[in-house]
Amino acid sequence: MPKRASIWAWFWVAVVAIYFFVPLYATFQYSLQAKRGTLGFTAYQNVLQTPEFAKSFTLSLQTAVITILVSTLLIVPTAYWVQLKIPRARSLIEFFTLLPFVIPAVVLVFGLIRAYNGTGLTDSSNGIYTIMVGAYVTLSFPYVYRSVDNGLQSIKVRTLTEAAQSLGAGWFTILFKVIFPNVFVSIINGAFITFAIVMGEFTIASLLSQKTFGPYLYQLSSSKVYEPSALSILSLALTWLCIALIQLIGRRSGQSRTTVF
Amino acid sequence: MAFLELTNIRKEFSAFTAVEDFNLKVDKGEFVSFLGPSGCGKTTTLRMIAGFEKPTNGQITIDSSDITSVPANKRNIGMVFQSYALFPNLSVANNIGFGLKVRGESAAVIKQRVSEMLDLIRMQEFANRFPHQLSGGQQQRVALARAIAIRPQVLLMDEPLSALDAKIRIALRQEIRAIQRQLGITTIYVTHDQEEALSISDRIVVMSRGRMEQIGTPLDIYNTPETRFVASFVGTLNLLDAKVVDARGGRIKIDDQEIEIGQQLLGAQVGKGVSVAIRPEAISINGKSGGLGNHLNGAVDDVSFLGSVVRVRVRLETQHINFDTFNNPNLKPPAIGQAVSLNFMPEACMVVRDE
Repeated sequence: MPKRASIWAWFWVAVVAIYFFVPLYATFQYSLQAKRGTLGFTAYQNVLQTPEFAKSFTLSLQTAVITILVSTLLIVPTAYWVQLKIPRARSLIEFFTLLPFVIPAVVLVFGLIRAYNGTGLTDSSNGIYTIMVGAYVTLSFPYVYRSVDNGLQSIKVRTLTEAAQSLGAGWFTILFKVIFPNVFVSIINGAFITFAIVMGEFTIASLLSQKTFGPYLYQLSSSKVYEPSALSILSLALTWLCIALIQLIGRRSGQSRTTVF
Repeated sequence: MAFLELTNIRKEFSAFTAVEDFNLKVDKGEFVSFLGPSGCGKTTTLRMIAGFEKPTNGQITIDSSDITSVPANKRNIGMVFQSYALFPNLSVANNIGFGLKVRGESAAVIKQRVSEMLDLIRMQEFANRFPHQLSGGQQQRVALARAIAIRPQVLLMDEPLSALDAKIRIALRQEIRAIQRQLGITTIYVTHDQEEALSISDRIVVMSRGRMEQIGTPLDIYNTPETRFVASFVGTLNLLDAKVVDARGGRIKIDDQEIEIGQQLLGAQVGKGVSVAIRPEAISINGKSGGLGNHLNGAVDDVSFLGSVVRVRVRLETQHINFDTFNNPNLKPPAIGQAVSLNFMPEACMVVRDE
């Protein structure tokens, strides 16, 4: 009986693997066919040599880093404060974290533009860029908040805070010397997911006319044949790299320690 | 002048009064325990001294300065928590040095003080370990060292041994007391374990339902409990319902058997109900204490072997009474159903208030 169950389990694993890997393999193989009759990395070379690629990739990279910094500095203290002072509000905040999933990106962008219209943010390219980062912070909210909230639940937030207070620490010291180091892995988890989202995001960047990696990928697909597939594979590789890094840092977290003096 | 003084402390959480009418004076270097069941307000009182809770009314002073409204991080009070509360990301040495670093001490001063503390808790070789690499007892010793490294005016301990197993608990409480005596640090210790409180404290505050029931030395609390609650909570005790027979002569009746209680019951009317407490160790059977004193006749209902002591439960007419006898391998304990005569001195009887 267990043997039969095991066979069925493997059968379903195989079905899912085929469903997932076959299109991926097809895209990969297609991206290798840029030179007629031979398989090679010509499409990848073409993509990597284009100045627009470097430009859009750098802009997305920069946006991802800023988004991670802003969302970390905003969400970690929020999650900490909610757990410490208003634990009853956790369910309400969790509801808020679902909103970015429910509200379509188009609605979010037009909402932001309407809200900030006439404030000066909509008049300059820097202002529009700021709105985009704000929108990305909103998109990252569910991932970063839930990750950090789980991390905070795994440590005794109240007791650690009180222990630090009894030793003379103020809120800044408690946050940066006690809380941040102890939820570091959770922050990294949220950060990498944010990174992957921002690097591939298309709708918001496109509607705000920002030349990031997502719109570049779309633009490329309308003018080239093999290069978009190569770029998709590169983008996917980047996401997998992020996940691998999360795993690596998570495993090493046991050894990552802070020094006080 | 008391070093730590709590005056008319009251703490309300919405409609619930956690602590009321709490007055306490603690001398410098004194070790005072708050003893009581869960929810009696002992931890809330401790947290008010620490600054984690603000009293609804009342004043807290340390060394004559009012700290009632001073934030917790400005009070210079060390605290040891039940769950150790060591910072998981810091080594033992860094945990101990944390408070000194926060105070802006130089690296050399911190290093020296940390080394002193590690010597004090005999954990020098564990300096570079992390909390998860230590046992519960070791973690609590580090937490103690961390709390006293900052040279606090008062040390607060919130059930620090509750999470440890019995053997370590006894060893560590002796160690805590020795360190406290050595440093002469004023200490408030919260526990629900009466044996712990009796063994470690200079004075004990017994609390119930947010109020102070009795304050006194361990001997006072154990030998002369003032209320029925203290009598029943501290140690094992027989609490018997009795009726006054002769108030002036100190004679009462328990299940129609008359005994003397060694004190006058001033103001009590004949026939009035009173609560009488007798410690199990104050009773012997069949006139072993020379036939003097009181006798109560009954039959053995149950015999419990507790190691060095055998506890025998005797049924009177409507009530039960326990007595303890040392385990003697050469003597058989009384058999169940055996008729016995319980013998105890009148002075062993304590008349306690009902509240």
